[in-house]
Amino acid sequence: MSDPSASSSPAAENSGKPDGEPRRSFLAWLAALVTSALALLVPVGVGVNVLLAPLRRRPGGAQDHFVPVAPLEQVPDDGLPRRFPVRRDTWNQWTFQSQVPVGSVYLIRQQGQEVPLALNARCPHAGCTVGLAGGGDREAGFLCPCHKARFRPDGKVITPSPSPRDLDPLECRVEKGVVLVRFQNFVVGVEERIPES
Amino acid sequence: MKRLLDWLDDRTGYRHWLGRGLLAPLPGGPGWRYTLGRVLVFLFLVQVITGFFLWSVYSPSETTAWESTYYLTYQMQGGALLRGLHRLAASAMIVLLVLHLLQVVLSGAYRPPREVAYWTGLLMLVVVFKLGLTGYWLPADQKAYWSTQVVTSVVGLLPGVGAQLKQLVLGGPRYNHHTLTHLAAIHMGLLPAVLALLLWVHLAQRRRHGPHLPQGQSAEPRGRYWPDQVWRNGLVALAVLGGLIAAVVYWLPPGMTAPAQPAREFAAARPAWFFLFLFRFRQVFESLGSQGELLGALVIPGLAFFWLLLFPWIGRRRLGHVLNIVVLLVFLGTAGYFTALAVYEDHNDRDFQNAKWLARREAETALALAQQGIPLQGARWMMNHRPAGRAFYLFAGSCLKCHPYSDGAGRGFVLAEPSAPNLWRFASPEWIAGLLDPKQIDSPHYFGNTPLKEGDMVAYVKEDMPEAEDDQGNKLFTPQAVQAVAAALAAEAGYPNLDPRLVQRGRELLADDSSGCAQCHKFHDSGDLGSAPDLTGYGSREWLVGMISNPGAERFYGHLDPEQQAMPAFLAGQEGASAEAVPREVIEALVDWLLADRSRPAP
Repeated sequence: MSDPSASSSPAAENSGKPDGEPRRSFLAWLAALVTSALALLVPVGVGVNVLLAPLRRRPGGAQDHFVPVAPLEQVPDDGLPRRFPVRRDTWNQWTFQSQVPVGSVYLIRQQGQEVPLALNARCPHAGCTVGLAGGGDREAGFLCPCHKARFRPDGKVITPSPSPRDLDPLECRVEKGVVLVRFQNFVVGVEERIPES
Repeated sequence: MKRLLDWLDDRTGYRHWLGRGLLAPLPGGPGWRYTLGRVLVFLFLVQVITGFFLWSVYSPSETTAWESTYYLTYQMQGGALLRGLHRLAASAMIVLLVLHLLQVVLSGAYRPPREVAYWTGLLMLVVVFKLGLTGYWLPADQKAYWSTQVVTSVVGLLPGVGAQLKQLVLGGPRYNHHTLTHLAAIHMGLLPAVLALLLWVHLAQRRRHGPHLPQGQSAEPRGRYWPDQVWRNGLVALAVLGGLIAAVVYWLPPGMTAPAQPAREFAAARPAWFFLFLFRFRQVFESLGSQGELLGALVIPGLAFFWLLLFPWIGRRRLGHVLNIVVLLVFLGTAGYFTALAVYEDHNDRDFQNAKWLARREAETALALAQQGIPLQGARWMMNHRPAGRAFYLFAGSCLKCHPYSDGAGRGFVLAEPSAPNLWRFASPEWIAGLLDPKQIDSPHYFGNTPLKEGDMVAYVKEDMPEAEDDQGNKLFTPQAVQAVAAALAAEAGYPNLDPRLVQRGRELLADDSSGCAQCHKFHDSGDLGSAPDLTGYGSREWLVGMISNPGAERFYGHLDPEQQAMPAFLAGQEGASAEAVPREVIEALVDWLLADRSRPAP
């Protein structure tokens, strides 16, 4: 058998026979490169194709219809903000669940007001759920626990603030004593109010 | 650039490494025979790559393993291709590994000084079988679950540590969430790492000893590994890959059986094809009890493997080498024989074919339900609680105990000794025509094995019907008239595309209460209940739901003596209901399933 040291010595590199004609050698070089690259790229492509599937998937279902949030009697016209979960039938890949909490809204009704003001409880800065400042004091407004963004009781941002805009107001109406909200999330971190797809 | 590479070489010594492995002159020159081993390396890479992506979408737990595999296979674009490629590449690895072993033994390349390469190769064969085994288990479908049960049970029989080892693998006393996380860790982490390590030693051996040359070939260097051998390797790898992808797309898309059901029977359980030989081989020792189980599944295959390990030592002499070749061929022949035997026996085993048919329909039911969304409790719960799933298990567990469901050509669920009429295309024109045929009505296909064989209908069809005449003395039930009655009843059942004139004629015969069917049967406004089943709406959804709910109702077989009335009532909450009785929506789902089946080409 061949002496192993012969093939591992760098000097052996030039001791072999000439590689034949340069053209043939180039073809072999090209064939080796192309076949190896293709053979490895195909399985990678098959996998990446699946990994990219979420980008091709259309957004699930209508995101912008009105959903019932609370009976009106739970939102007295005392000007205090109250938070209610928003539930929706939801797909989670293979799982389908009805009435899953997908977010929450603050409902505020001033004295004499029929329809409450609805604010999406998600902070426009980085998406945390905004809490009540000052233990729910009527005048204290909202405080985001993540980066201390503050908002007035009507949702206006108190500058300077990490939040680029006011809390997102949502369309709201009252039907047969039930508060309905057109629940929607908006892209966070930007000044403009862009609906999330 | 030159300086950058010089720097890199100084720090890493890559030129030496490349020169040794890739650019050094090749003793004996490149060759196609070396591609087999390299294609195996390539397939391992394919498995690592596709495996990584599968890993990124697979969710190991008892309520998500089947579900995430379903989602990948049927909902994600390209998911079936990915899973199919991984699955078939595993099979290809096993085939090519065996061929590589054969090549190595035939050419004598296992002999000293290459023992280490040979042994690592054999160990890699074992690791790849283990990868195949654990991979087969990950989807947690019926066949995976039962295979897991069988194999871990055999492990549990090992003297001393068996029971503990089994508990350790399962992550508890029985199959649970951690069984799947364990399997995933073993399949995706441990085994590939071991394989990579063995492969590294295996390939280092080739560098140590150079390529094995056929006798008489000069070891004079010709060409270099890169590119002269690499393009050959690449070409063969591409051909194998192309073949695998074509096979996935055209012949063998990956499928699934239904979610695992520990409390139900699954008679179609079989291991992956490359373990069939072991499955069949251990049956030889069944009569020896659990000792035989160990003997067939572990001891004898273990000894055979040990013998393979001894090959380099035996093969030092010429005679030993010949013996090795004979032994390997005997081993492979035995494995091949038992594989073929298992396939052959299953093919000719009616019960197994029935079970396979049921497994397919069970899977279809599960996939159809999954498409509507799987509840949080998982797919097993879905199959056991949703009406369509319960209906399937009612059909499989109760209806098929007595009724066959086959097209007469051996397709579908065939009972050797049916004790109730065949339900396949019940109430279709051809089904009714057969019932009204004096030669068929008392065959097992209809009433042959039921108490009704001695009943009025059989006597009527065999004796009176051929003689029945109308007012003018003409034969009433000519072949054409029988076709008409069949068409009219099929129309009641809702079968489409019937000749309206035939149906009209049949209705007249059905409603004829002087010499036709309405003598005994009620049909719309003619005839009376109390002596035979109601033919109004015969075989329709409403009729079938009523019949299955309570066959003993006046409208159906209430006229029979209780001991003649063989079919139980399946609607829960009534007196005398079967132990398997179900709520109404399950019976409705069962009937809907039967109705949908009417438009299928074969059962």
